[in-house]
Amino acid sequence: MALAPGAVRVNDVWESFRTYTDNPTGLKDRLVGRRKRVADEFWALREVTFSLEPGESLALVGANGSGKSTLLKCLAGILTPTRGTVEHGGRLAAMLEVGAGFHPDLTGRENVFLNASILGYSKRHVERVFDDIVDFAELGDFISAPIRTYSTGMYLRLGFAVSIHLEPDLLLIDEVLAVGDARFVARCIERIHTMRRQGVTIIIVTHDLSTATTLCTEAVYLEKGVVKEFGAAHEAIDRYRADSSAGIPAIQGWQGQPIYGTGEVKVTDIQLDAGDRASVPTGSPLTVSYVAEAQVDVDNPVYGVIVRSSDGTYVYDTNTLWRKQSTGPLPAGSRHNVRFDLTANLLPGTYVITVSAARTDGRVQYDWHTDALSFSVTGSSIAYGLADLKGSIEVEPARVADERAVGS
Amino acid sequence: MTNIETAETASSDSFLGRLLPTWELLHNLTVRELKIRYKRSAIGFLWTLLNPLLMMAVFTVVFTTAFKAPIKDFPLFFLCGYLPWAFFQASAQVSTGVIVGNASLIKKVWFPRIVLPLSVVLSQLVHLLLALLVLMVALGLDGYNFLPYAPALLAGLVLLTLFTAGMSMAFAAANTMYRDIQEFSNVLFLLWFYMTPVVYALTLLPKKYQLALHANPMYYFISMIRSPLYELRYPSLGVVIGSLLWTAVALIGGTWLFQRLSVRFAKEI
Repeated sequence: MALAPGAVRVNDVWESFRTYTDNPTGLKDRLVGRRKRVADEFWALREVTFSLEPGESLALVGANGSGKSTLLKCLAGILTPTRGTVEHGGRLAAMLEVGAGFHPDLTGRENVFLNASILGYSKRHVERVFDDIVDFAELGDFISAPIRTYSTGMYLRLGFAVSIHLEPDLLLIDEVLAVGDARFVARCIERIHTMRRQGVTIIIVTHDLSTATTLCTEAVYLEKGVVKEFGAAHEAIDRYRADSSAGIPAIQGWQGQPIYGTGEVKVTDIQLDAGDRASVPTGSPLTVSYVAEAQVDVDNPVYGVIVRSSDGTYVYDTNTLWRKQSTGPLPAGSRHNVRFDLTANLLPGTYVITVSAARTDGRVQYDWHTDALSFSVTGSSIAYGLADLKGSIEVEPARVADERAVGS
Repeated sequence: MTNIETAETASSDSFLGRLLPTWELLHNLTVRELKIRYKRSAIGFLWTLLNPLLMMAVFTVVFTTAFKAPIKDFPLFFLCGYLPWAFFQASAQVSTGVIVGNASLIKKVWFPRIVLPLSVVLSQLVHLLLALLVLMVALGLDGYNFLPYAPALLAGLVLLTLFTAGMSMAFAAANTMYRDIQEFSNVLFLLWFYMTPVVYALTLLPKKYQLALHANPMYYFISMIRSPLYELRYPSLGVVIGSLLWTAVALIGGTWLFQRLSVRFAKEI
């Protein structure tokens, strides 16, 4: 019996890949080396079972290599499960690649129709949404130019625009939102929200856990091809977050991030003191300190700190210049101990800290350490996002008089 | 078993509604092949006609001046065999690499894989038909009245196309398992070309070789097309039966192999 449009049934799916020790893709190897060919069976998915009702949205989370993309490909029909069944009802659109089948010599218009028809949508269907696609991609007259003349951004925008205008019953998205400029990604996410409200079932693979929590109602947490948890998005994602941060120390210096500046003042011994804990609970004090050592005579240097979330969003940025705080002269060879006392009014997640010392007008950096430290915040999962706005929710029965007041 | 194909079509009620997007995709991919092939060349589509003419010139010079082949109107004789051959060879050779060459597409999008080799065959068929049209004008001007035998020509073209489609599917699928096929194909088709009576007539060969050549499927298809056009007669019953049989073998075998291997394309390439 056919499923309702948008419903998904994944029943005991196993998917194996063979890995060859001496990769025989040639005739000789097949003929001569048949006996010594070593094929290791590797199970990318084991016993995966879950189902979605129309209009539900699901995040697939898990570490790299946990089988997320393999599962998505099984759902899209690209891979056939070794065992088990994958079923879905209605029309499907898979955003596993932007601009599938785009050819550089064809115009944007020709490519839109070609791309849509590869995705299984008819010309008539595309004609109906064509103007929306061009509008969304912000291409204007460029739609009639060969796409080899497009910038990378235009190419991506057009590819996205086609995928999200196809009006499917089930939309599969694989990490593709990681590319593209922030404003366009925001529009894509908004569009996906809209599709969700219209009742489209959505399955998304992402490493961006905050997007996953806001976009999805359900989540599957995969570990080594096995479903470790399937259920409400925030619960499954919490469990994944807890598991994945278990192994690493919460406070650590980051390697390899850009350090630059004139070097007239050197920043050393950057430290984060959070009361000797493995991770920082929401609302606890947080102290960032470092030593600034002058190499030449400087006057009134500016000291600053920036806290950003793991996706780069500025959470907090302050310095002595904005605070009109004089730091006084710093002759060559002398030092300042700089300490920032902060409060971690942050919601659970990973954050990074940048520290800097700059000239008195703030325009020349003496020493700038991008993402010198990182720390993670733990806490209850009553709220998601970045800042802890310390909200509370009150619900009380409305009195009859109030109802009348509202009604009139 | 996966039910993806059946579930995919749950919303479209009719058999036609299910096939329509596939036909459209096949059409679009064929047009894409044709469009991009000559998109950036100066004389574009004229190459379709120029290429066989240049080949004809080369072979005519070699075979009429150097070897003095006793064949009347050698250029016309040659083209009647060469055009179908070139269609077959180009289709099969391009198809050989068409799955491997579209790896990124196959790994990321589900669509009926079979449209890839079929679109190659169809775009080559367009080239063949255009070139044949010009050849027929030339034949007509030279006093060859092939019109009474047109039904045989039509049947020959249909059978050749189906045979070529079957072979193209087989080559495309087999190449995903053994990339050697791609490397080997140049030599294979050169050998096959000379084993096929394109530049010579079968009757010019010693009897024992003639017999051996009957094992070559392309002999039947070349005859199906050359008989009505150049020899101005219906093909012999043997040739008709031979091409029917080979068409069935290629079509059934090619489709079977392709469908069998296509579930593993995304993993193998």
